[in-house]
Amino acid sequence: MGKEEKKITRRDYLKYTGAAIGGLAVGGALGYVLKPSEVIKETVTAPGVEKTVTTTLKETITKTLTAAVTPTYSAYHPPKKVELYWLVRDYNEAEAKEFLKGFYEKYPNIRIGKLEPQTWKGLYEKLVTLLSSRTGPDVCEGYSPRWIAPFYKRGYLYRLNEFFELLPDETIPDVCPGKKGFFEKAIEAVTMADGTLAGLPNRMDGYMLYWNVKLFEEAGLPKRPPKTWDEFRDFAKNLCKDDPATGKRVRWGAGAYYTPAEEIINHFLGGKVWGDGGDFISSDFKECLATSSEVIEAYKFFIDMHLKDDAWWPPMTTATYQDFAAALAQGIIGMTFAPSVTLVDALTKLGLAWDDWGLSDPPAGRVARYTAMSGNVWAISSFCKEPRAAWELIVYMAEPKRMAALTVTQVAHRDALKVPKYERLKDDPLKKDGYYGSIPLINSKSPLYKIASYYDIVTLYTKAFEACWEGANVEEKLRFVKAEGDKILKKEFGE
Amino acid sequence: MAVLSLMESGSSIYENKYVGIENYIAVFNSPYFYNALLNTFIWTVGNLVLTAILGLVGALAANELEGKLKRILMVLIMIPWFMPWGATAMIWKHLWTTPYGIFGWLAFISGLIKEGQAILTSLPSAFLAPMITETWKIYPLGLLMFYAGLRQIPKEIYESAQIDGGGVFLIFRYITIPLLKPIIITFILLNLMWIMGSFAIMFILTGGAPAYATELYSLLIYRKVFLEIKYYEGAALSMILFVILFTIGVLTIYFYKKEVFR
Repeated sequence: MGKEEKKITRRDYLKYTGAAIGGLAVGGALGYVLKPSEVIKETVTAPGVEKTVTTTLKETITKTLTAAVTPTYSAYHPPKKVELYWLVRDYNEAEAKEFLKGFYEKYPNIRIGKLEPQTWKGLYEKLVTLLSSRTGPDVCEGYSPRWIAPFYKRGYLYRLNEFFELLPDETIPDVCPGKKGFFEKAIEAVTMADGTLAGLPNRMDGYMLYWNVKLFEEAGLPKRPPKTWDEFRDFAKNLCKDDPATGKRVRWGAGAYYTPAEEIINHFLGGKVWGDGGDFISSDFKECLATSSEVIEAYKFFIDMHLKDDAWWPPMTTATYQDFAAALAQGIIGMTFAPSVTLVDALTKLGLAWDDWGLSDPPAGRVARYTAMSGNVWAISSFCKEPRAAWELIVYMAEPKRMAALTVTQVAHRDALKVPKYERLKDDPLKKDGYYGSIPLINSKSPLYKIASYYDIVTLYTKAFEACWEGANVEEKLRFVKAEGDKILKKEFGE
Repeated sequence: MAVLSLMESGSSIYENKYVGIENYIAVFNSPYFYNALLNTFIWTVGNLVLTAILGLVGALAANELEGKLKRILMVLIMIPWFMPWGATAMIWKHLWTTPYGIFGWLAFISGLIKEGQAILTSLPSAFLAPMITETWKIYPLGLLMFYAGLRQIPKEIYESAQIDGGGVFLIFRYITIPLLKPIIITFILLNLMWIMGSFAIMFILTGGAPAYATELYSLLIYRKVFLEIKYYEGAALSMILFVILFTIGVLTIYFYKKEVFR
């Protein structure tokens, strides 16, 4: 018996040939890559200048491969000169002017023809006047997120969805913020019910509970803030103090300051109503929920704290900011609510020992823990002649390092928290998942924040609260709020 | 303004569409309108009366003074008139604040304000306090007007009345007031228009709180236009105010003309 002859089939032939070719190709490529002396000449011609740049093949391949995974942003450079009107927040003015130098270098054809600083006080009325008369501004970073729906629904603001999609997912340092880095709640806050993105968040903050650590100690309370609203009320009662000589109350367990008047919902009323599973208007925007059990209970809760317990600082409804700050400084109020920026700034200016105050998430309701949103948002006016140019300004200023410089405390982008000024927060117990403050608790989806008649509705609720503060019947006032609120919603949304 | 009051937003905010008197119907159907009208009526009458009394008393007193003291006093009296409205309101807001402001503290220790109450948050003080502030601000004008009027009255008339046995009150009632009538009517007409349109004092002191109890007509217009962004309704409210003031003005001038050229 003889040896079988090994036949090479066509398949084998193809297999070996393919392997050989593949091996040669890889080997060749490797050889080229690793061989440093091989160069590719490239001539780059700039106007008036001719320059020869030599690049190794290795560098070219590396550049090509990495370009596929490196985020890019295609900036828009207008062909002709463009002038924009920027209404800037007063505390941003100096930084804005500094950053504009770099902006002008990058965008030689985009200029800020008018840079107008504006304080928070009067900003809303100014924007209403300017936008309704179409006299400006083209861009402003001072919009409150609560104004976005009323302004957008009146046609004042430009839709930003297409522009937002131009941003890469990840931040490009010194170029632009990445889409994914914005806090989800911040994006939700500026997204309308129909999915329109009407602004780009700059600063985002949740209303937080401030508690006076020293007063807590003096009152024999645990060294922690109240966890629930019932505990909040108990703590407030315990914090109260009367003058032994006169028997008059000299310290109240809780207090707040709010202006414009509608912020009573944002300071504490919203936290209680939403926490108990309720809301102020229905999710289909058709009904005002003033007579719901959650709203009635919330009203009675705070009114009773004032009228029955005498545990709430009485002059809340018309006190000036200075009165409130003075009351805090004198230790007359044990707990209060404010966005993290507002009170930090106020207490610092008053020279109060910041260590005397603890900052925490607001109390939880029966169902959840929620808080209202505060912050600043970039927006472009709908009549802006060069919205794309305005977007380039926003993108430049919203780059995380610049965003961090332009905002006081709580930025709306995770990468902005990586700058050194936030280093002190890295071990802060309130810093979770890369944010500082109560951002995850923001009720950015509340239908209240998605309607044009936001001010009408919240003013109704606030005025009813003020009347009840003076002793009016809660149910009666809320029935009026419901009747008027339903009319307002019917006018906006139909039957 | 008149045209705007007959319009409403079209498909875009920058396109107006004609809606006839719909805005006026909305205004007349709103409980806030009547609330603001009533508040403004009380506010106007109260301020007019207080300003007139203070102005007249001050003018009578100033008329009796002579020399350097008179000139110094007249300058001091005019200070409220020269002060800006916003600054006046802010200062008085602090004065009324309980218990830190001086008036707030006085009201508190005198028992006028109960514990836990505040002047600017509780009725009726939330209405009276701004009224007093407004009066303080505008009474110098009344004083000047009445003083100018008093200076026009010949002294011989008073001397004759005294010779005939007229007492102070009789002279005041039958000589001073009739001769001051044109000034009084002008004073009422001018101040009526100013006070009815008054905004700064109430806006800064109470903002219409508590619960619209101190919301004047001007504050209602402000709320509609600047907070609720309903400028068409705001225009309708403004037109209604114009008609009211115009009617009052025409009737008053007619009355004044009748009295002076009788």
